Order: sequence, then structure tokens, then C-alpha cells
Amino acid sequence: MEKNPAAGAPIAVDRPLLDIADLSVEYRTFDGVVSAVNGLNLSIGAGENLGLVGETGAGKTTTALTVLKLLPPRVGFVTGGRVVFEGRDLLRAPEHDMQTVRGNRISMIFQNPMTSLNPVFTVEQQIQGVLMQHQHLSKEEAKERVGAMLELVGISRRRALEYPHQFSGGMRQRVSIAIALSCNPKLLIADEPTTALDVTIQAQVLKLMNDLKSQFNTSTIMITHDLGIVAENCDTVAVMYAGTVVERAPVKDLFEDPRHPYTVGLFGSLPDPDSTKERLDPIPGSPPDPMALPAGCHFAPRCRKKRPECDEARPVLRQTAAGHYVMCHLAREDAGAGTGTGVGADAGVSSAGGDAR
Amino acid sequence: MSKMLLRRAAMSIPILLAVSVLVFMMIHLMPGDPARIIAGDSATEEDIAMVRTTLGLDKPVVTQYAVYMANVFKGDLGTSLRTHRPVVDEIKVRLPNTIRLAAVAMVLSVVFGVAIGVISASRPYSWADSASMVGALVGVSMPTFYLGLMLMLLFSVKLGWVPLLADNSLKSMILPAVTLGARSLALLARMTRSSMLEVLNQDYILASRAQGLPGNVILYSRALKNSMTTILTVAGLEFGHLMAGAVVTEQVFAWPGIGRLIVESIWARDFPVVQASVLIIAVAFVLINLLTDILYTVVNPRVRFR
Repeated sequence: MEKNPAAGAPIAVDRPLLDIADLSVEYRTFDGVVSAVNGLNLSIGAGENLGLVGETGAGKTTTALTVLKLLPPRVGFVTGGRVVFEGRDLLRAPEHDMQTVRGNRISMIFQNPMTSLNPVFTVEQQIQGVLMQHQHLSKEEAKERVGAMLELVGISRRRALEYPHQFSGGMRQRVSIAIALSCNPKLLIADEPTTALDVTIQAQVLKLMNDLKSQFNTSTIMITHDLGIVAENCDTVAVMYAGTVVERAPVKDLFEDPRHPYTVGLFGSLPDPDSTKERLDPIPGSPPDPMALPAGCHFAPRCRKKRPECDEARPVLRQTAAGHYVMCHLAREDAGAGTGTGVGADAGVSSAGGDAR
Repeated sequence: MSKMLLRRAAMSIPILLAVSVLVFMMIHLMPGDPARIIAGDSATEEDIAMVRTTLGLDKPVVTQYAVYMANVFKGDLGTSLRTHRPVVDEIKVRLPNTIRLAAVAMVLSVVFGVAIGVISASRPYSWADSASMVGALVGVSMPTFYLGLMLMLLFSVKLGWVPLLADNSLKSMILPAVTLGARSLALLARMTRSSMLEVLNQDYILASRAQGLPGNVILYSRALKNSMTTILTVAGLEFGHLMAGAVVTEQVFAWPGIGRLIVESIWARDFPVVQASVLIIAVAFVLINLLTDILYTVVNPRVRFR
């Protein structure tokens, strides 16, 4: 919403398209309970392109699967929170209602196009299946729409009767995009859609996604660990660490002025061709064991700015500048930004630490 | 695709040749003089000499095989030593009974085996799953003759629901078909379950759930087709086994099929009939496997283009 020219006013603050509040998810395995998502807060407005970044295991995919209620049965459990989409809490919606949301109102594109299409059905059958499920089209109408969708993603409609193994990886991801957008969803979740592709194909697929989502006015959550993709394709970024969003800001603000020590560390571990530094500056240590998270701030054990309070109380996500939210006791606050974030301000801890950078 | 099938069909020829050699050699694998054994204990030297000339056992082995094969291609499988009728006629009467029994057993095991497997896989570790799999384990381990006798005892002798012996009615076919198909049914249920569980874990199944397809559609019209390759392989092999396995079942239920013919002929030392019956069953086995391979191309598009 912050950078959406069409919106004008920050509508997401009033009524976001998707509002995830205090979400917690755990996996109950034979080895123990894995806390995959821990009190996550995230909202996305209509037409907004949000980048969700974080390293492997940060809970990005778990968050996406929770939104669609597709956590692995008997293992993945939501232990708290809300996922409000178009004014309705999906976590309380019955399975039958979820089937009308999935693929229709919210679509998802998966990471590996080599495994996310069914090998024994033609491309036409797979796109048609979604169309007939949600749009109640006749077979002929659906076939016509399949051809149109294929052409939209740059595949000749003559190839509709071919099987996934007859397409290259980039083409298959185009087919996945065609399936995901065929019912004109309000929200598209793309889970590392280009990670499995060659770099040149990556750029093509991302351009296609950008063109189509502005054409369809679809909001997107782009899950990635590639900050370059975020910089070029997103309006806002949310940085995840140990199952929660630790910083969220408009792309430009985050790249120019990262305020969470983890985000600062992320940029420090990127190679900079202009720099004269010989070595990169990685974040020391490794992410916490999700089976035994630290009591205070989850990043505290690795944080160079750590203070005594960091080990005691978990910070909350608070607004430090317009649209810039940080989950850190020490985060610097712009004058007048206040602490009113709607997700609970922590009045007990001030920004006494000053500049967290 | 037709090229692939032709190549596959051509591969059956050496197998069939090897089968014919083995079947032909059966007579020479018997310890001692085959003519003497075939003629029986009370045979005179003249009888034995006659058997030897009738069967051509006095000629070199290679010549014997050539003559045998030439006759087979002419549709002449020899003459029964017991009834003095052409073996082909004997088999013509018996084979349809076996095929009918095996077909009914096959339909039973595929329909129920696959259904049980799919239901188990859709609710893994539920009581229905555990019960089915324990039942399948029993079915796989139960010896055919024992199962046949027990079913007979319960349903024919105690309850009197079905006739004890074969009278060519559909009703009299139930017990033999269940006995014959039990092992295949159990095996198919187990293989379907494990294949379905593997398929249901694939990314493309998660993707189809994310597309909003209902659980039943995913299970029966998507995942089942992915599992078809495994199901076909097992079903094809089992159909071959059903033809061969009919020997025991037909004996238990006095079913007038080719399996019973083999047993009767062995007792009567009717060697040409045994030879011909084994050859027929072996050829059926090879043909069924060829048919299975052709069906693969229907369910798995990736095989089609190789």
C-alpha cells in the first residue's frame, strides 16, 4: 500500500487484503516440537507486492502454507493467531470453504516446476481442472480459456495437449503461473518461484509475473532469499528470522536504512563490487534451534548490539518511521513515528539504545 | 510408440523359444529312461519300445526338438497317452474354465485390492488402514489349499450357501475365485497403499490441493492415475500367477480347468498333455506381460516417447 500509486491512501492500515496476527505454528515430530512460526504479524494490502525474505528455516514457506491451511496433517499445528483474508479468519473456515479460496481467491506458485506439475496429465487437463473447479465453465469454455491463459504466459496453445516432461523448467513455471492466475486470484503467493531456474530464465519469469500481476491487479507475496529479486520486484519487504517478521518497510527504506541488527547483518554479508573490503562480514553464529528458542529476543545470541534486556524480554514489532516496523528493543525511532502499530506497542522498553545500526 | 511396442513384442520371441526348450526338455529331465517311466511299471519290453517310437525318443535330441516345434507351429501338440485323443482337444475343453476362473479372480482382486489400498492410503494409521493391512498380511501369507478348504468348510458344508463342487454356475465359482484371488487381492492392496502414500507426498499433489481441488478428486482422478504404473505391474504379474496358481485351487475345488488337467496327467504319466499345458500357461504368462507393457504407455505418457 505504501508504494501503490493506485491506492493513494494507505488502505492496508484500515482493512488489508490479508492480515496475519500473532500467528504461531509448530511441527510436532518424533524428535520434539519445532516452533516454526512464532507470533508473526504481517499484512498486505490490495495490489501490494510484498517480498518475504529470510534464510532457510525462517518459516517463510510454513507461513504461506498456513494461509492456505495446507500444513502437513498430523504434524503441522497452528497454536495461535489469526489469518484474516477479505474480512474472514481463514483459520476458522471449514475445509469446504477453503477449497473455494485456494486456487481461486489465493493462488500459490511452488519453488520447483519440475515436481509441481503432475507428470501424467496434459497441461490442458491441469489448467482446465482449476477452471472447472472454480469458474463453473463448460468443457468447451474451459478449453478456450486454457488456450488464452497459455498464450498469456507465452506458450503456444497448440502445446496444450503436451505433458509436463515435454517442457523446459522455465516453460513449466510459466504453466504454473497460468494455473495460478487462471481464476484471477486476489492474492498470489510465489514460493521462491525462480530459485530452481537458470538466471536468464529467472529474469523472464519474473518479468512475466510482474506484467501479469499488474494486469490482473493481484497482490503478491514473493517468498525469496534473494534480496536482488526483492529490490526489483516488490513494493515492501518483510524480513523473517526464527519464525517471525523482524523488520518490515517499503523496499527503498529497508535498503537505505535497515534498522534491525539482523537486516543490517544480511546486507553486510552481501558482496559489494564497489567496496574495497577484502572479506564479507557475515552474521556470527547460526539461527537458533527451533526446538529450543531463546527466552528473550530470538536474535540476541548473535546480535552485536545486545543489551541485558534483550535476553529477558522479547521485543514487539513497532513502527519506527512511516511504514517502517522493527522488532528490536534498540531500534531507533524517528520523531513522531510513535509506537502505535496496531500490533501492540511495547511501552516498557523505549528506544533508549538509539541507533541500532 | 508403435516402434517401442514392436521392439517389446520382438523381445518376447527369445523368451518363448527358451520356454519351449525347457518344456521340451522336461521329458529328458526325468531320471532314468523316459520311455520306461512313461510306459509304467507293468509294461512289457514291447510296450516300452512302442512308447519310444511313438514319442520319437529313439531319435537324436535336436531332431526331436525340431519335430516337436514343427508340430507345435502346425497346431499339433501331440496325442494324449491316456485318452488317445489330440492334446489340443483336451486343452480346448479345459482352458476356457481356467481363463474364466482366473479372470473372475483377477477382477475381484483388482477391484477390491485397489479400493482397499486407496482407502488405507487416504487415512494412514487409522483403524481402517490397520485392519486392512493386517487382513492383507494374512491374505498374502495364507496357503491357497488351506484357505480353500476353510472357505469350503464354512460356506458349503456348515452354511450351505454355495455348492460344494463346481457345476459351472456363477455361484459355484465364488469360492474358487476368492481362494485363487486372495493372495493377489492382498498384494494389490498393499502395493496400492504404499504407492498412493508415496504419490500423495509429491509436490504436485500439494500443488493440486493449493489449486482448491477437493480431496476426492485429488485421490481418485489424480493420484490414482499416478499410482497406476505400480498397480499395473503387480496386476500383470499376478494374472500370470493366477493362471499357474489355478493348479492348487482347481484341485481343491475339483474345478475342471487346465491346472487339474496337469495334475491328472502327471498321475497318469500322460506326458504330452503335461508338456502342452505347461507350454500354454508359459505362453499366457509372456503374453500377459506384453499386454501389461502396452498398458503402461496408456497410463504413463513418459514411456510413450522412449
